[in-house]
Amino acid sequence: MSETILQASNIIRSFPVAGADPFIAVNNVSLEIPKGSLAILRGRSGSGKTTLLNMLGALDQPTSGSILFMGEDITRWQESKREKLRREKIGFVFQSVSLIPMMTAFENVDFALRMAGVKDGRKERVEECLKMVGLGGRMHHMPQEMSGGEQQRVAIARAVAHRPGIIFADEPTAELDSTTAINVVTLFKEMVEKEQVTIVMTTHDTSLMGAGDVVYELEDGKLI
Amino acid sequence: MFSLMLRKLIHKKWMVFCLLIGNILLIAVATSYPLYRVSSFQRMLQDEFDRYAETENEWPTVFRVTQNTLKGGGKISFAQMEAAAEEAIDKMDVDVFEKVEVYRMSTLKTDPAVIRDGEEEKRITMAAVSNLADHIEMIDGHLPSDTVDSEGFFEVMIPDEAMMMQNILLGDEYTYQVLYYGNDLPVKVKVVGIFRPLDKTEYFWQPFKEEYATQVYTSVPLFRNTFLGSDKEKNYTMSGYWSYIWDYRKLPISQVSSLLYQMNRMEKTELLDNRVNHGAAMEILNEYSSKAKRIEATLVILQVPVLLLLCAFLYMIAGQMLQMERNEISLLRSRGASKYQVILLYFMQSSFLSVISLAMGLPLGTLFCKLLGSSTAFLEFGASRSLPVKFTGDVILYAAGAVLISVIMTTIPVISYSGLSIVNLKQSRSRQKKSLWKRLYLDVILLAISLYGYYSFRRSSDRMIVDVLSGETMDPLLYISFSLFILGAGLFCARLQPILLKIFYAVFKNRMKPSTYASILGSIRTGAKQEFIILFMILTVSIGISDTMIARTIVLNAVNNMKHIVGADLVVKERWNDNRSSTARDADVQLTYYEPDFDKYRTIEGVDELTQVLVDDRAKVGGNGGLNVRLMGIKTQGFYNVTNMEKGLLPYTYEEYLNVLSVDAQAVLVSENFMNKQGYKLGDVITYENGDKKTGIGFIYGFVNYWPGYEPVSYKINEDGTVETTDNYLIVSNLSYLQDKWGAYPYEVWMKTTDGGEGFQSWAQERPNLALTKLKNMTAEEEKIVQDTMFQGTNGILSMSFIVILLLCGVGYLIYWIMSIRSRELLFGVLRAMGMRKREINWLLIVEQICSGLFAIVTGGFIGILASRMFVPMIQQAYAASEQVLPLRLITQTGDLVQLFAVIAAVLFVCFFILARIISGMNISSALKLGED
Repeated sequence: MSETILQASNIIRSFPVAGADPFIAVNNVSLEIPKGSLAILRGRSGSGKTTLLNMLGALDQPTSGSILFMGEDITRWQESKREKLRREKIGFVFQSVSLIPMMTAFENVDFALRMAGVKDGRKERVEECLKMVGLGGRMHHMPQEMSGGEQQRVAIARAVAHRPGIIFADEPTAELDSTTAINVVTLFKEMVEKEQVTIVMTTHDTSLMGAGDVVYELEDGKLI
Repeated sequence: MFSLMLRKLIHKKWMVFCLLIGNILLIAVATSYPLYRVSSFQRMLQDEFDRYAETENEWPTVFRVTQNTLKGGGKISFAQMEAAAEEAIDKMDVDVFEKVEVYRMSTLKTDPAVIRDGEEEKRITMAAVSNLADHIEMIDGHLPSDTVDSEGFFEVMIPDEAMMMQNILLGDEYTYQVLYYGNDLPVKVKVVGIFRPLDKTEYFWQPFKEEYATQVYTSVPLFRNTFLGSDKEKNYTMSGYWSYIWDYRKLPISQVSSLLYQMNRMEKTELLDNRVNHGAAMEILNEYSSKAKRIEATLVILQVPVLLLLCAFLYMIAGQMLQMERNEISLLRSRGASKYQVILLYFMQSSFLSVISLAMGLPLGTLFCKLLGSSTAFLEFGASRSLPVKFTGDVILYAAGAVLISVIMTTIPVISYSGLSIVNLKQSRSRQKKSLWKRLYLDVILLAISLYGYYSFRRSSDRMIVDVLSGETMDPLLYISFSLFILGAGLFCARLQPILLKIFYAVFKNRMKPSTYASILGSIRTGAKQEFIILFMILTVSIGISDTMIARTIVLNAVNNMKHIVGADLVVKERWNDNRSSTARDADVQLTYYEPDFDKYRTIEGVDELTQVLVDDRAKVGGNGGLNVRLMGIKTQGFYNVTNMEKGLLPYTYEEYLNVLSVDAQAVLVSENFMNKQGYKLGDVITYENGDKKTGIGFIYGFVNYWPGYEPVSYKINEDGTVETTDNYLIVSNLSYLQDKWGAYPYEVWMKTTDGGEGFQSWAQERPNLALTKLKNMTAEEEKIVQDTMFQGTNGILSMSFIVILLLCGVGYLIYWIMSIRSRELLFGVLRAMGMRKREINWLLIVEQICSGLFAIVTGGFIGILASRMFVPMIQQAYAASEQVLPLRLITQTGDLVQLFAVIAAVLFVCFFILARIISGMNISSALKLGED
């Protein structure tokens, strides 16, 4: 828990608004995520947590400030280098329908491995991951044949499959009922332990905050 | 509800745009044909009449009723007959520009007051013609008076020609020997005037042009008052003609059938039977009717595919739009709207769109009609004669029909959706079912039907020639088989596409890049959605290719054939003078022809090469009762210079045949039927005689089945509708040999021109004394073929169909991919988040396009070529079977295909451009935000 995997310093993200002052979504945020932890970013809807998460996950770039990923400032990187980073070192879980609809659960997880350039042992790893999320029996189902919780677990299996250093989960429990939501968070905690992975998740749900090793709260783009 | 509909329309502007395009095109296509038909058939009818007027030098539309009375008999009076004629012409409802009444007393002997040239009696025909005064000028004397003069004379006038022909002079007086009037007064005539027609070419003269110079003319009132009337007319043998010269140029084609009906009915009434004469009108109208029927049937059939495609397009877009609106419908239903309210909403929407489309479709239809009328070849427009566009009731009817169909096509899909509530909706979002046509094996069925059609037509192709010759229309089943084949093959390929993809996937599963993998897998799994667009592309390309081939083939074959039969650019024959009058008197005098000056032709501008060609169709082999042959005497070098022979038609080259002919003066080439049917062999001596029974001999140096200006077989339709084929025989000899033997003998002048014969035209106009008995101009003949309603209509409709299909395809393709990309923005966001590069996303899309678009273009091209090879030869028979001499060739001009693919490529390029813009405008984070809604 001592090593820092991700360090953001004074990041600002503003969006131009026609005929008005720019809208500042994330305002001067600094944070540190220790390696092998479950970090929770909490905030109400519109508080800027998704914008912040996108920047941390190298999907978006801050207007100013720096983000160090394993000691390197990824905000200076070319898009192609950040793409490679996302393919190999990062996994994503989104709020909803983030599975590729025309692929089965198995193929969805497999696709993450293909993207990361894994050639051998994909089948075993995919099965391992799907079993880990409790879907060993539904591997060849299409996403639309699964419940929301099941889909989300496939997404988690996919995010973890290529053994990324870090997983970003944007409101992974938002569309789930509370029991399922707790199951997902429990799964995250298991993964942090078993796979030695770091997980950063956002949520608006205060009841889940207790599960986090690190918790940040956001309001109007600022940490409180 | 209306505002709800409007809001909905504005929201779905892309879809609405597509629906509008589909609707507008449907209305434009549906209305352009009746517009074109009216104008072009009108032109065709006019042309038929004009051609008659020109060749026969006679106005074709003269309606005449004749009344003859015999002295002592006759049940029907002149007055009755005149009334019947008036009634008949009223019923015909034509534009009469001249009514000519002619009364004629039978020719009777008279005693001249003064005996001249020993002529003691003279036979005189007294006649009276209405309105004669308006068409003549008096040379001498005055017009006859309307009453008997003081001395009891009927005043008459005569044409100047009659002075010579009848030996009658001004002032002559004649007393009829046995013709009396009133109280037994003898009829006496006195010539008081000599006249001359103001313009002898006026149609006024036509009804009595034969008797014109053989009668004397008194005034109509005098004639009528004296001889007509029920009690009086029984005493005379005389006749009356009421001729109505009517204007065929003002006859609308819509009236043709009722006019023909009236004409036929007249002959069935007792009163008019055998007393009416329609001039050439009835024959021309009948001919026009059957020709129009044949052309119409063909042209209507040609439009069916594009109309069906348009309907399918509307159905598809309406379905797609509903697919997108499923949520809204289920929401409406859940809030208590009834099924019928939902249907009503969509019905209103369809009607609203149709009305807007009508406003734009009609002008577009007019434009299409003009395009049709100016088409000269496939996708080529610019004919020299433009077509006037007229709106008729038909057009409104067709437009209304189109609107109705479009409303139905766009409302039908609603019915299945209108029952949808939220619960059903969730249930229906399960795994996709196979399309209906796949489950029914519609593709296999269609292919089987079309192949059955193909083979049965191939077996009966001889009968088809006969049918076409006897005026039957092209069997609609033939074109339908052709269309079904394209559709069936297209569907079959659309079925094949996912199978091929699956095979590819199975083989390369682990060797593909992630983007290729995602793309192929996506294409396989979303197959059904792509089917329609793939099918559309396949149909566009295949119909485009086969339309090109049909259009090119029918026109070029007809043109080449005509060129082959005509022989050279310009073929003329002058009238040759001879001494026949003296040979008739004196058997010892040899028949001699006087050759007109040939060198004058050399001076004509635009004439490059020229040669003398003796063509004698009265020649024979085997003396009297022998075989009729066409004898051709040529100068080999000159003939070679002015004629063209397609390569490959003869077993040896054209040059070789001409060479052997030039080696031996007595060498002849004869048609192959001499060998097949008469048993001649190479080296045989053949003895023939010309039309004047002078003989010649020749050694057979070769057999030819094709020769410029030669038709091996000609067809004739007998009155009972059977077709008679006649073998034509040909002997080609050296002109120099024939001239040595026979002296001067009439020949034709064959010329090669560089200006389409224009130089010759003006040259001939400057020589009014040039008497031509034959004039064939290839350029003019070609123009006739190209502008023939049948060919032009076919070209025009095929071109129009192709343009419409291409538009549909472009719009359909674009809308499909825009929808497809829009609906996948989130997916692309996910892929990007997973680290997929933009390049790779583009590649993913390109692979998709290759799997659908490129696949469709390649298979479409393949199907198009296959379908053309199979069906075009048969379709072509419907156009030119009777005169087809040359073997039929399928014609594809590389230019056409280049043009075709260039247009398709342009459409695809525009699509790519728009799609690329949409994709580059997409950014991951905003795409992903979609997920937060």
